[in-house]
Amino acid sequence: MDDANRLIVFTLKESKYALYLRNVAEVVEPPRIFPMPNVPLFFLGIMNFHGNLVSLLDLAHFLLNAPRNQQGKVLVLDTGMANLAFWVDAVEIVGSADVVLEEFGSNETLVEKVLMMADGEVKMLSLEKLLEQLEETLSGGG
Amino acid sequence: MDMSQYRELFISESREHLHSMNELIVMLEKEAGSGEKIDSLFRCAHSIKGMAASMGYKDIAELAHKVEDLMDRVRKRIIDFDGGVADLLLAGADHLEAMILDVEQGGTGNRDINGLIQKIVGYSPSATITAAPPLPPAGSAPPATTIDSKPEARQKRVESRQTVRVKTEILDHLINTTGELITNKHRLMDVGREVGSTRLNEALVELSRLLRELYNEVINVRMMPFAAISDRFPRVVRDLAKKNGKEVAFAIEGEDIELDRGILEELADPLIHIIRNAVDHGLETAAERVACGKQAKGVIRLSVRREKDHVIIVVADDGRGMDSAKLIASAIEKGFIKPEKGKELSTREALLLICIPGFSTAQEVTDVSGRGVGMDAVSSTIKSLSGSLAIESEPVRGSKFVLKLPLTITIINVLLAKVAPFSVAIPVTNILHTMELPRSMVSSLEKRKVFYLEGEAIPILSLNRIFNLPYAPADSEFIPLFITEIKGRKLALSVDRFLGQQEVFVKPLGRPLAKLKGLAGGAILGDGEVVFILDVANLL
Repeated sequence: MDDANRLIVFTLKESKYALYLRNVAEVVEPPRIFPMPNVPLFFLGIMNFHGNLVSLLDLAHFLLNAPRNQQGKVLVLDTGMANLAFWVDAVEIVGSADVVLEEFGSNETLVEKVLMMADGEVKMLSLEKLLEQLEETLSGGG
Repeated sequence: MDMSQYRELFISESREHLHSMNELIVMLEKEAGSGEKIDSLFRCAHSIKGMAASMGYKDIAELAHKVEDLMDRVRKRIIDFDGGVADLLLAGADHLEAMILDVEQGGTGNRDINGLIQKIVGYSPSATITAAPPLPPAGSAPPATTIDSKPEARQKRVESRQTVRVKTEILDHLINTTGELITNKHRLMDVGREVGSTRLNEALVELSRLLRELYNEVINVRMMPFAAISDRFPRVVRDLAKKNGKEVAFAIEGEDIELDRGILEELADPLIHIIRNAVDHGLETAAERVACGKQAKGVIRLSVRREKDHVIIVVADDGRGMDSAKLIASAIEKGFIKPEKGKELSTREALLLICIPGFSTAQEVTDVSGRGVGMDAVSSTIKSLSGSLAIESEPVRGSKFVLKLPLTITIINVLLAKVAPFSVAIPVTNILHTMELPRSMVSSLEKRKVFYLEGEAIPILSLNRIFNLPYAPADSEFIPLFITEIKGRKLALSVDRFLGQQEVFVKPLGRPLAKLKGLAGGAILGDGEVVFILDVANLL
């Protein structure tokens, strides 16, 4: 299996999303979080992740403006990429990109491409664009 | 043979040689004819050539070889070391730097160097010495590994055996681990208070002592001499002076003073900006200087000295200086301050007006220092390093920029305060006073809350308001606040309550939170709570 292209698939409401596994450090249970000043409501707070400060984003709120699943999971991004974690409804599979039957382009800004898998479509998130959008919002441009 | 393991060594050693080359070229331009420096320069090029050839970096070896040849012609007094030679050597050093960067990024280091090589090979100065005897060959082209039997060289070899090269990321890791240990010490102290065990408390006192020792050692390892960034300054001054047609004598004192490498890295850009301003705007042209009775050559002095836990860096020039009255008039005209405020400003405060964003006294915008990072950015960077900036200036006599910086910023003392649900940490270096202000002392001035301290009206702002948070119920007769200085003005910032002082290990917020204005980082307290460290200078 090509490790570089392994995927992690997670759900938000009725939709499925994916990230490359190489960009994810860990999936953890919701940790103790601390409030942050001057941030939009989709930022749930900041957490101590193995000594690193990591902000926690309510992805359902941010992407779909929908309430989050209180029993969700926290998906922590690789700290080399960002100090950011996503609160998602559930993590479904960790697998190879080989299970992708077909790929399509997407009109959604934060979706890099749509992957057709055996049990339906999965939206591949564009992490860089998502980070840029968050940074723009935080610096007052959004 | 697999040479990849030697690549990093090649890159770091080549860069050291290039640093020396840049320094030597600028020095030689000032004091041409120094045989020792010419030999050193020759050896730098020779070493780069040898290392590059053995690593298979053909173009780097070729260019270094031509630079070496040019130096050989100088050494044999076939040509003079003049401005033309200096320009070619500096261009060669710049090309080599770019090629080494390419190697660092995984490339081959090859690039089109034919044009430059032709210029070097075909260089023919206006004044050529033919009759002068050649300089005594100091070791006739010794490679970097040649053993020199001089006592100083032996001493150097002994010193080099006592030191090792350590990757900077290991140094960062060391300070991180030490920081985590300090955080955990506070955690244990919390437990110690709960259980009330004498034996535990005694062990904690000993642990604290050992941690302090470890911390001091780690900080010492991270210290780098100021020369690590100042090596490039003579070149900056030289190029800029040439571009502006000015004559400048540049001197640096105290290059061996050491600072934390984190601070040094942040300091390079602000210092270059101040130096550029000095050459570009501070110093007059030779004709202007002579007309007002000065030496044709302007002087810029950069001095570094240590004062207790701080380092003082001074950039002084003997140029045209700044007129505080004119600065005040300009600030009023541009609407930065009101006329009545202008009357209250001291000379020092008036000079700091140049740090207000958008305030510029340059008559023309040049591509050197009239644009890009301004004095506001310089001031913000210094403040974010928990340092301070003071400016002294007098018309005709020149200007002096005084930077006061802490030796290290990774582990700092903070005052913890509660603001609504948040705990914030205020670096103590940003605090002039803390006080519990009786509410009866608060008055209004131009619709702003102020109080008077030694006759001076200090505006009061609430951190709750800055962070869009609800106010704590005003059930106390006193307002807890701290007085700080932002953009040269005193300001009182109120909080809900103070929690106490503590040392914390500063952690970066990273992407995306680093974009949040007014926060310099975060820290984890002994009980695991995350607190935000205020970037007071950039809070408003």
